[in-house]
Amino acid sequence: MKKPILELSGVTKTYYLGEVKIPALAGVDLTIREGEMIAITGSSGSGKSTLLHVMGLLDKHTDGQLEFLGKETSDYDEIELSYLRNRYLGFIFQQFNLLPKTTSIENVLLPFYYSDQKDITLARETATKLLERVGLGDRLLNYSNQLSGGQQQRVAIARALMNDPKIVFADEPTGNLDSKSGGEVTDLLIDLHREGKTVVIVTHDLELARIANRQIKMLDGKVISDTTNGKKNKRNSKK
Amino acid sequence: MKFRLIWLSAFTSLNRNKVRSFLTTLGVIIGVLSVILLTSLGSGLKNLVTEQFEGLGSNLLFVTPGEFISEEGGFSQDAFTQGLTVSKLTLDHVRAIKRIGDPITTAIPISELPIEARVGTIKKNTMIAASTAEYASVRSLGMTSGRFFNSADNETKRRVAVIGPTLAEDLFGLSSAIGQQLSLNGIYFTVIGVVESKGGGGFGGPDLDSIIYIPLETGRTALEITGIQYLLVKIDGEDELARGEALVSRVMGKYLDEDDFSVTDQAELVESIQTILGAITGALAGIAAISLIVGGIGIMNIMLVSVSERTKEIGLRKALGAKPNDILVQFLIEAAALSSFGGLTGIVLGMLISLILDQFIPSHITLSSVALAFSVSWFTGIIFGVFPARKASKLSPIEALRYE
Repeated sequence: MKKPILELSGVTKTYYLGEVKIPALAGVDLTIREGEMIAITGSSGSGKSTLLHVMGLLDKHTDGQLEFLGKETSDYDEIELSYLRNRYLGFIFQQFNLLPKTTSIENVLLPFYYSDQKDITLARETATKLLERVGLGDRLLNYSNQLSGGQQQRVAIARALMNDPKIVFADEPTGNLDSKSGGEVTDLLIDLHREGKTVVIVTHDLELARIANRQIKMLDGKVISDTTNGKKNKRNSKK
Repeated sequence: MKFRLIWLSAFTSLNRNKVRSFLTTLGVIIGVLSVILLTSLGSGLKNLVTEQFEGLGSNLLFVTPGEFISEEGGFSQDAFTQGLTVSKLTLDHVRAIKRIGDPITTAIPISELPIEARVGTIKKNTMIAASTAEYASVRSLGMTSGRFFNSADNETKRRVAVIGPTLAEDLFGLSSAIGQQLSLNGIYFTVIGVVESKGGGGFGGPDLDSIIYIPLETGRTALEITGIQYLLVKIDGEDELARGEALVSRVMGKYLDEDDFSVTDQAELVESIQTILGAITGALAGIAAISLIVGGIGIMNIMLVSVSERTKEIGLRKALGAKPNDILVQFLIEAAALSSFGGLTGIVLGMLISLILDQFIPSHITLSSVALAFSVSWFTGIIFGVFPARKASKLSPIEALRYE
């Protein structure tokens, strides 16, 4: 078995809306290993987005353990989490979230700017290659608002790959796209997996979910089914 | 955080919403502009006054009607009211002061009067200085051409005038002014001399090089100059000023009440005028600085709007690895970019307007006022940017990303 990147055990997340307690995650046990392609599905409110945010170190869990690359992250502060996100994680959002009035290449370079890498020439080469790879080699200097939705999402994919992350998280990556652009984005995600990247997709689009070899279903903040290539995974596969 | 990112985000923020950026900086532009203009007018005025008094010649005592400088150090009101109305100074006083002898070299009476000089259709508003023949030596006036009037001109009340070089050029152009006629209030005077340039601009009126000098007696009969506005007493050597001042005071005391005259030396006069002008300039610049604060509040306001407009962007940056400090610095730089842009524009505008103003009234840009205005505007951006920037840096990435 390959090395685990993320290990969650008994992870909970509780929100408070005034006095009302909302358990978004009610004890999740999950291990994500290198090279996996995972689709997390579930109806809205099932906790799948919260799970992605917690795994992506964007949000703090309320209780339980979350180990990233073998280290417990619960006590990490904002600065350490920023570093981990920048160095090891890539994000693709439903809304693309490109910087407005900024060129494709500058958008792709953004993670580099926040990293401790210094070589801008090398970074530009990398960014250019990534944009070529997502089929936008001729759109390097186009402003984000001059691009179609599908093109914007492909820039976002290139941006997610900029710092060569360990995991790419995609949150409803095709949710705002027509079927053609959605198909292109789906193909790119499949390519990423083939090249060995770990990809975690959160979606309620079962069509998209089908590309993943591991399927996780959520309901009421709990994992209700977890299968790899149709076979059931053991709960709490902690070493 | 890399410099390029700082530059990029600052530039983008200015560029993203040009009209809004400009309107925001307008407050700072106006603030800096008024600080620069007021300080340069103030220092221009100070230079002018100093120049004019120094241009009067050195080692001089002024005998003025009433209390020229009050005991508190400021100008007394008497100086203005009495100077403009009734002066009790007479030619007898001039003669009495001259009789003192050592260390007094000489004493002259002076009356000044604004007047319109006319040659043909050319009109020029300027100032007349009516005095005696010794005026040229007391004021150390040199001649470019012709001669200064002498005592005979004065005693026989000849209608002769000596004029400044600027006025000569204004009225007679390149042709020689000597022997030409000019009309003062409808009375014709013959120009007998042109003095050397003394330099210096006037208070929106005549400058030193446009003054018309005429004999006092001529002025009294032809132009109805009544009274003597002040006396200039020349002392032999700077170290004798104090003794001269005491002697002149004693002699004048025999003729007039203590309250009806005062004796002041030039340095004292210049010093107190400068003190007063400095205080006025400072106060005006202080008031102008308030508009800088208002400009700063404008920047804070727009930065707060910007932070909430860009909540999603902040969230995204954090998701991609921006630390709270990176966001803080970004927004601080943006605020500073806005205010520095305003500051620079204000400085450039201020310099231009000051140059234009200088054609009419003395205006002198000082490097220190530019440096001060710029750094104050920059700090305004930083100070008023801190609150919005802190707010931005504290946003949680997920809250920010969720924001619609």
